[in-house]
Order: sequence, then C-alpha cells, then structure tokens
Amino acid sequence: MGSASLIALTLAAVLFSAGGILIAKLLVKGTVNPQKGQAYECGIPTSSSPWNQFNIGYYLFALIFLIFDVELIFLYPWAVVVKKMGMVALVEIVVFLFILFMGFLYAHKKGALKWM
Amino acid sequence: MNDLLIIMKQELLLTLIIFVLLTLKIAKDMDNGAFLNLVNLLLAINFVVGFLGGMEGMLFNEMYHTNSLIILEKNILNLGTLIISLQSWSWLKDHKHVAEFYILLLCTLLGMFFMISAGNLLMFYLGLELSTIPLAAIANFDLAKRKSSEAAMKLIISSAFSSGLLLFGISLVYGSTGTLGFAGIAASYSADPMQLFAFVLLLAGFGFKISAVPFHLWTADVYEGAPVAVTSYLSVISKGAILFVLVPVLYTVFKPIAESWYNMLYLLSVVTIIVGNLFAIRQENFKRFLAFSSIAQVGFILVGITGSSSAGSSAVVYFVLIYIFSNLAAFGVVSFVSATTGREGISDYKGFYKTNPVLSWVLAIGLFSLAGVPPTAGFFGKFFLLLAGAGKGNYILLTIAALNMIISLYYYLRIVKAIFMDSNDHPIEKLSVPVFPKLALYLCMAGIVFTGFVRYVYDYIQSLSIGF
Amino acid sequence: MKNIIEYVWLVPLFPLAGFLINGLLRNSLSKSLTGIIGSGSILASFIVSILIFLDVKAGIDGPVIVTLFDFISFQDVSIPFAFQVDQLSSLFLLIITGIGFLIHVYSVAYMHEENSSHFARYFAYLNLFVFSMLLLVLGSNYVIMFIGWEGVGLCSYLLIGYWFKNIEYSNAARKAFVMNRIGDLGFLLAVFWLIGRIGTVNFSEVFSKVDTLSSLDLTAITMLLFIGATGKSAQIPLYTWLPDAMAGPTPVSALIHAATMVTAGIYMIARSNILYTMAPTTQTVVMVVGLGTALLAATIALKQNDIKKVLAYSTVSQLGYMFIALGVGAYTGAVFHVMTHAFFKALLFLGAGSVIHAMHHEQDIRNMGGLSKKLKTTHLTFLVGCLAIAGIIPFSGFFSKDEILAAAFMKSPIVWALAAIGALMTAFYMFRLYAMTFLGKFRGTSEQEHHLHESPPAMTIPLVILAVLSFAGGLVGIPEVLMPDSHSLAKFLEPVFAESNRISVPHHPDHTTELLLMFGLMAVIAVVIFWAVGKYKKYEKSGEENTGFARILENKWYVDEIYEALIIRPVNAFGKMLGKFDNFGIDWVVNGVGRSVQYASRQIRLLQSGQVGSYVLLMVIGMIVLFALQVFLKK
Repeated sequence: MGSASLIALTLAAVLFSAGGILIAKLLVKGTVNPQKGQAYECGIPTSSSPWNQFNIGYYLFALIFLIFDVELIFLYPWAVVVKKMGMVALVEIVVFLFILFMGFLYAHKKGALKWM
Repeated sequence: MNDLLIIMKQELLLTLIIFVLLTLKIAKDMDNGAFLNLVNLLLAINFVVGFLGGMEGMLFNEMYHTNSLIILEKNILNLGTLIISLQSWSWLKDHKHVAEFYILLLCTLLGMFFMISAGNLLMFYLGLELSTIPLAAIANFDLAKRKSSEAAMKLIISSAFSSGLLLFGISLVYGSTGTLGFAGIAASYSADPMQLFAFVLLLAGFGFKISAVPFHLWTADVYEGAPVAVTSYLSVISKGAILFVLVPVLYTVFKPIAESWYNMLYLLSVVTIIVGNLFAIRQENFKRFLAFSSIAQVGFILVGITGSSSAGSSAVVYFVLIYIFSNLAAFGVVSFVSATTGREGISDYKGFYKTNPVLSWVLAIGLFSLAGVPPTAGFFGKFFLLLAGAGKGNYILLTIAALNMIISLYYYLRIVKAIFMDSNDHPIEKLSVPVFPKLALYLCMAGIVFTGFVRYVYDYIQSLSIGF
Repeated sequence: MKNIIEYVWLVPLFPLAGFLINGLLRNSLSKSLTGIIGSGSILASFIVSILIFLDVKAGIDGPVIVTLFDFISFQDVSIPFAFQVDQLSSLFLLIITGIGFLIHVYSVAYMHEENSSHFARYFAYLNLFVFSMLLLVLGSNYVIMFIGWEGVGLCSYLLIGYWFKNIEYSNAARKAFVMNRIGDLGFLLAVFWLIGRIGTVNFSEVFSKVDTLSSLDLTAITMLLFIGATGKSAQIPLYTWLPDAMAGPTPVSALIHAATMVTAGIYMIARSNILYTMAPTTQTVVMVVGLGTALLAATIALKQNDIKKVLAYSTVSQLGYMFIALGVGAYTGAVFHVMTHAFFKALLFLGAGSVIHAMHHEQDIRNMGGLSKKLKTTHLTFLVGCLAIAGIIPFSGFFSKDEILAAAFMKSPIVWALAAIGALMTAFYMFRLYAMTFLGKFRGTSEQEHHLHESPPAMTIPLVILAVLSFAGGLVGIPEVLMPDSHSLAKFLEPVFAESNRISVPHHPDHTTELLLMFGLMAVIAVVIFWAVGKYKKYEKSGEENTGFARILENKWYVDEIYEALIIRPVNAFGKMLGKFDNFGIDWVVNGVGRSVQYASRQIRLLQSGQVGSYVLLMVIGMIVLFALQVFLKK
C-alpha cells in the first residue's frame, strides 16, 4: 500500500503542478499585444520604472495591518465556543488580546503608526 | 490549574521575563548599562528557578509534556543563554536596540522550550518556527554590516525551505497515520516507502537545524555574517535544543523504523564529520572556523545517537552540556576580541599569549576541550559519545570518528600554536575584560573542569535518560 | 566519636594544601611565612600520624580501608580512591612525616640564600614530594600507589633540577626521571597484568586471590613490580641516577635518601610480601640483585671524594641490604632497616649539608679536614651517624643490619659472607669520610677557614634529634639472643606478614652461631674503623692520580660509560636510523595524507558557493540519496 500511495502522491503532485501549466498553455490563445503589459483593470498606467525607492512606511503599515487583521480572525472561532467553555475561554482571550495589545503599544511607541 | 503553573513553570517564567522587558521598553527609556544589568539578573534568576520544584506531567491532550530530563535540558539551555548574554555585554552596551535583541532572543528560547516539550508534531512545528524566525531578525543586528543582512536573508530563506520540507513531512505522516501525536505515530509507524519518505523529510528538517551535511551549507555564511553573540547562540543553544528533541523523537516516536534511521544516521554522521573537518581545516576567519568545527562536532553527536540506548541519550545530553561550556569559552574570547578590536582572523591571534595570557589560556582550554584532549571535559564527552556509538558494535563508524578526531586535533592545535608560539608584529593589544564577560568565562572554565571530573553530573543525566 | 583512623586523609591533605599555598602564592609570601607553612603542614601531618599510629598500636582488626570516592569504575573493574591504614603504613607515615618535618625545618635555614620566590617554589616541591610519598604509602590499591609513585618521580625530577640554570643539574634531573620511568613501565605492566588476570588491584582482594594465580603469572607480576622497585630504590641496573641526584639541594638528598622515594620500592615489596613469598624465583632474583648492588655500590664508595657522592653510594649499598632481606623473606628486617636507615641517613645527609654550608658549597673532602674543632655539634652527630651505619652496638644500625645478616646466613653462609664483606667496606668508607672531613689538618683555602662556623640552631637541632634517634632507634628490635621477647617491631608488624610467615616459616640461627657471627663481625668492623681512621687522619693532598683498581673504583666501575656504549649509543643510532626512515617513509605517508586532506578540503570548498539556491539543491539531492539508499538497501 505504502509504495503505491507514494507513487500516487508523486504522480498527483506532478500532475497538479505540470498539469496547470500545461492546461493554461493549451487553452491560451497565443496573441501578444501592448494591452497585456498594462496593469490590470484598476490603477493607472505607470509613469516611470517601478524599480525605484519609495517610502518604507508603506511596508510598515501594510505589515501591521496584516498582523492585527489576521490575529483578529481568531476571535471568530472563539466567539462560537465561548458560551460552552465559559470562564476559561474568557481568561484565554484576555491573555491573547493582552499580547496583541502589547505588540500594538510597542509599534506605537516606536512611531511605526506615524506617517512621516 | 495549579499543576499547569508548575509544569509549565519554565515557559511561564520566560514569558513573564519577555513581557517585563517589553513593558520596560514601552514605558521608559533606560540606559543600556542598567538594562543589561537587569536582563542578566533576570536570566540568572530564570536559571536558578529552573531547578526549583519542577513537576512531570502532560497538558493539553498530550500536546505538551515534560519530565525530569526535559527540565534538565531546559536548564542547560537557560545556562547557555545566560552565558551568552553575559558574553555579549561588551557588544550590546553601545547597541541601539538592546531590548529588542533580548525580547527576540528569549522568544526563540521560549520556542525551543515548547519544541522540547512537544508531544505532538504540530506543537513541535510551532515551537520550531518560534525559535527560528526571530533568530533571522537578530542575525541582522549588526545593522551597519552588509554581511549581517546577507546572513539574515540566507537564514530566513533556507529555513523557510527546511520548514517547507518539515511541513511536507508532517503532512505525509498525518496522511499515513491519521494522527500527529507522538504516541499515536509510534504505535502505527512502519517502514513502508511512504512513511519512510515522510521520515526522510523530517530528518532533513532536523538535519538543517543541526547543520548536518549536506544540509549545512547555510551555516558558514550565516555564522560569519551574524553578530558573534547570535553565532554562538545558533551554534550552541539552537543546535542543542534540536538535538534534545531529535533524540527522544528518534528513540521513541520512530522506534519502529529504528533500523532505517540507523542507516541514515550512520551515513549522515560519517559525511558530516568528514566534510565538517575538511572545511574547518582551511578557514581563516575565526567565527567561520568555529562554525565548521561545530559541524564536525555534530557529526560526533550523531555517532552517539546511533548507539540508540540510554547510553546514547545521556551521552548526547552530557556532550551538549560540555559543548556549551567549551564552545562558549572559545566564542566568548572571540566575541570579546571582535567587539573591542574588530579583528576576527585566526592570524590576528598570533602572539595573543604575549599580550593577553589569561584570555589565551581560556581560549586554549576551550579549544582543547572541543578537540577532546584529556583531561578537559570535552574528552569525557566525546568518550561517552563514542562509547555509546560502540554499543551497536559498529567499529567502522568508530574508526572513522577516531581518525577524524585526530584531524580535528590538527586544526584546533594549529590555533593554539598561533596563540602561544607564533610571533606577530601587530598582536592584539592588551585587553581588560569587563565584569560580565569575565564572569561568563569563569563559568565556562568551571564547567569544563567540573563536568569532566565530577561523575555525579553524568550519573545524574544517565539516571534520567531514556533509551531502548 | 569517630576513630581518628577515619581521618587519615588529613595526613596527605596538609602537605597538599601547603604545596598549593606555597606554589600559587610564591610571589607574594615572605620567606618566613613560606617556611612556616611548609614545615607546619608537615608537622600537622606528623601529629595526625602519631595519633593514628597510637590507635593502630592499641590494636585494630586487620587493615582499615578509608574510601574517599570512586576513582575509576569501568565495567567489572572498580578502583576506589581509598587509603589503607595498617601497621606497615602507619609506621611509614611516622617515618615520612617525622623525618620530613625535620628536613623541612633544616631547609628553612639551609636555603635562606635563595630569593623568596624560589624559596617558596622549593617548599612547594618539598610538600608535594611528601604528599606523593604519603599517597604512595596510604593507597589501598596499586593504582593509587602508582599515582604516588609517579608523583614521587616527578618531584624528584623537579627538586634535583631545582637549580635548573645549571645544565649539568638539569641533565641529572632528566637522568633520574628517565631511569625512574623505565622502572615505572614495569610497575604499570604489573598492574595491567593483575587487572587482566584477576580484575582487581585492591591490595586486600589481590592478596586473597593470590592462590588463583598460576606460578608463571605470579613470577611475571612480581618480576615486573621488582623492575619498578629497582628504578625507584636504585638497584642494579637502574641505580646510576641516585648518585647523580646529588645535584639537588642537600636537604632534598636527605629527603630522597632517607624518608621518601628510595624506600618506595621496599615498601611496595613489603606490602606485596605474600606475592613474593609465593614466587620463590623472583625472591632469589631480588636477593641476588640486592647483594650485587650492596657490594658494587660499597666498592665504588671506597674511592669517592665528594662528600655527598659517598653518602649516595652508601645509600645504594644499604638499599641493597634491604633487598637482600626482602629476597630471603625477612620482611620485618627490611622494614626495620628502612627505619633505622631513615634515621642515620637523614642525619648523615643533613650533617653533610651543614658541612657544605660551613664550607661555602665545597663538597670535595680532599679540601676539608679538621672540621671537628669548628663544627662541634655537626661533628658529634655525624660521628653517631657513622657509628650507626657501620653497625656498632648499641647504635641502631647494628640491630637492623644484624637481623638481615642473620636471615641471610640461614639462606646460605655465602650470602652472609658477601654481605659481611659489604658491611666491612661500609665501615671503611664511612670512617674514611669521617676522618678526612673532621680529623687532621684543614686543607681548604684560608678564606674558607676564616669563614668556618657552626650552622644555626634550625639546622643543628634536627641533627641532634636525628642523632638521638640513630642511637636509640634500634632498641625497638633487639634480637632474641640478646634479650628475649623484646623485638617489639616484629610483634607490631606481625599481622602484615603473618600470611607470608605461615607459608615459609622464618628460621633463626641457633644462639651460639648467631652470637658468634654478630660479635665476630663487630670485632672485625672495629678493626677496620681504626685502620680507616688511622690511615686517613693524616691524609695529605697529593697531585698523583689513582692507578689500577682504585682508578676503576673512582670511576664507579665505568658503569655510566658502559651504559653509554651499550645502551645509549645504540639507541641513539637506532633512533637516527628510525629518523631516516621517518624522513623518507613515514613522513612521506603522513605528508601525503595531509596533502590529500588539504586537497580534498580545497575541492569541497567549491560547494560553498554563497548561493542559497545551490544550497537548497544540495539539500534536495541529499534527501533523495538518503531515501534512495533506504529503498535500495531494502531490496
């Protein structure tokens, strides 16, 4: 069984990755025009080369937003079971939020939330 | 609830320390000197408290477990961290981000604790990640150096890759056994190719962390670029922690495929010892040299693990303890010299004895211990490793190991010769060592003498060890 | 209250502490403090030793073993770090610490010219020396004994080469060390042999298992041990280091010759007496070697002109007597002679030191003479020493030597006769030495004569104490014929040698014969003494060289030269040949290996490209290899 499943797995992996590329290759119609090089749907055409320096603040904001956004998602499953678990759940979420809050405070203290 | 507090005592205390440091950082600006005093005091307390009133037990549906050996292992890591912290005093006292350094460092230590105590692959993985990612950040702490950034980048990329391998392995294990708990895996594991492949992936992940050949190539670049404190942390603490996990995982979880992993480990240890030695011979940078020599040391540890008995387990823990002392003695001197003079080349150490006799002796004793020259503790450590390895009667492996010990003797003694016998027009000037680094060096020296000669240490470790 | 014997570890502890303090603080201690620490530590040991001795004398059931900790424990072999206290070791403790203490006190005055750092180094070595010797005597197994054994060898090296700036002295130190090492090899092999055969080195277990050893094993082990003894106790063929060891400061010679070091071999054989009793072949060898050494050294001593050299050869000769005693199974006699010899030889050496001190480091007796007027105390005590070593009743040497001679007579009258000739020579050369040093006219320079003075009390008081001991020390072993039932030493040591005595019952000559031998020999010795004194009292310096036999004796039978020609040169030549082979053969191989390792490491470094991508690639390849090997190995 083991051998077979390993081979199956390998085949599946190859199919999954190679297959995707292959199908795309098969389906696409090989036309090239300038429109395809443009930014898609939203935004405006680039005015200069994208390989220039820009404000690191963009990154910081994006990262901090992402971190807290992701962490807060954990509140949803908590909300579902909080009634059943009672006090324990409350304590745990307070600890969790406390940790998050400390991180937030730190970011604030370091001035990461100030647009320079 | 009370049990939880006692069982997780070490983790909770560490978390508390992290938060104290974080709060301090947020609340007010302390000057570096006072902050370092406080941190070292806290770490010392942390180390001492580790010995008080521990308790064995399991928590969270066997996600987390602990026993006397694990408590001891955590204490060993605490000690190592304390020594490194003391040693990096002269580097950190003028650094801009001391608090961050310690917070990140202690987070990795916390990760290691959870990793060691893991009773479940998922828990293990979480601990591993917690112990790796902050390391990449502090590898970049020589902010002005490009090499430091390069080191951090290489570390994060290659460890991401190894994490990928681990996760792939874990998912295959889960797929084939239906469980992630260690006990469950041990019960249903067998040597069919699928599970063997999963094991190879896991072993590669482990091998990456302990830098066993051929998973070691990141080591040299990272060690060289990272600040010395981080390098010593990587090569001693982080490696030690992984070894502490590797041994029980191999001995208990993957016991059903012992024969297979024995062969793999055999191969890995031979290649690791030889390649580590070959690399170490030609290094001219002291840190890089120590990095490669530590690869060879890992090879010897793997020899001990192949013994797969309680002798193997205790030999590994014992050796890691000694290795912490010896390597940190060497790193301590190198770290101090590098922080005060910026010189890291081996040839810079020519004539070192003339100007700094005490430091020279510390360095020499550390190197002797690493080389395994009696009567230093390193000799006893290697001796027990090889003795454990001999348990399986594999004398080819032992012969290779012994021959390589001789080769390693060559390159360690080459440095000792440079220190004591070679003359130098511009030797490193006379340095006066501040209190904290000096204390760290004394600790290491005491450790090298004490652990070697006092039977009690080994006996105690052996009484706690597992094996089959 | 715990028995004082339980605290026996205090005895070696004090000298060790003294060694550490003096050694580590040698640059900051004042001389007087160094002296107090050095001597005080030995005095403390001596006091504890007396208490232990009294306890042992009051009666113990068999040896008391005091285990401190497990020293080596490997599979079946367990070697504890333990001390054994019984009659034999407690007696030796007294000798070592007692005489050691006197020598330490003496040294304070003798070495006062050294600067304080060297002074402290001297006392540190001296304490370490005593410590090693105590370890040797107290060890409850051969391994602990061996540690002491090696320590003693090391300290003798350090002390003989104390004035290390003098090349000749350093060479003497090296010679002593190498000779000792040759013997040590024998000892070590014996220990391994024991472990191999019966798996233990603890005295009590070895002696109880002695029956299980084949006679071949026994002979081999005892012979190897004896080789060790010939090194430490300066017997043929390894004796030549001892006369050269005179290079060290005189009190060191006293310590080496009287209280420590050279008695180690005797002690070891006396301790292992049961093994030797069971191996008659070895016993014969021991006896023959002892006899040979006694005679050879005595003849050499006849023509030596260096005051310390004469004494050195007399020690070698007296050690020969002790080995004769061991060889004929008279263990008590050997130990007895060790004791009395310790008294009078320490006395003689310290007396010689006093003379040398007075003569400003002049050691040639041809340049002395007539010192009795200026050095009254030294002269009288030295005379006591000479009488004791010559064996004049009632001085101590008489009793112990007589006991050995009586035992030798029972073995064979020829042995007795040869030993007696040796005794006559002893009397002759000792009184030649005495007469040339103290009697007649002063032959040194006028400046030396002007400065002649008696030594300070710190030096003369030990001399007086030792003189009293040399005079009265023999009374613990009065032979049966003279006073029945008064050999208290024999009674005291009885339990140690009981087993040996049971196996081969010692015989005594009948009383008339013994008395005849005893007093006949005494009479001849007395004649010899008068002859020697009469002849050398009137000694005048003459330019003429010795000729014929005397010249051979003066050159010590050319033994050193023979060794040079027979052993050292061939070994050197062989070494040179090996060196050549080494250059062309081994070096080629070694360098070849080295070069190939270097080459391989150059090549393998190419892996380290700095590209993370290639690192990852190698990891994947490694994994595949591991996996593939597993799968293929299975098939």
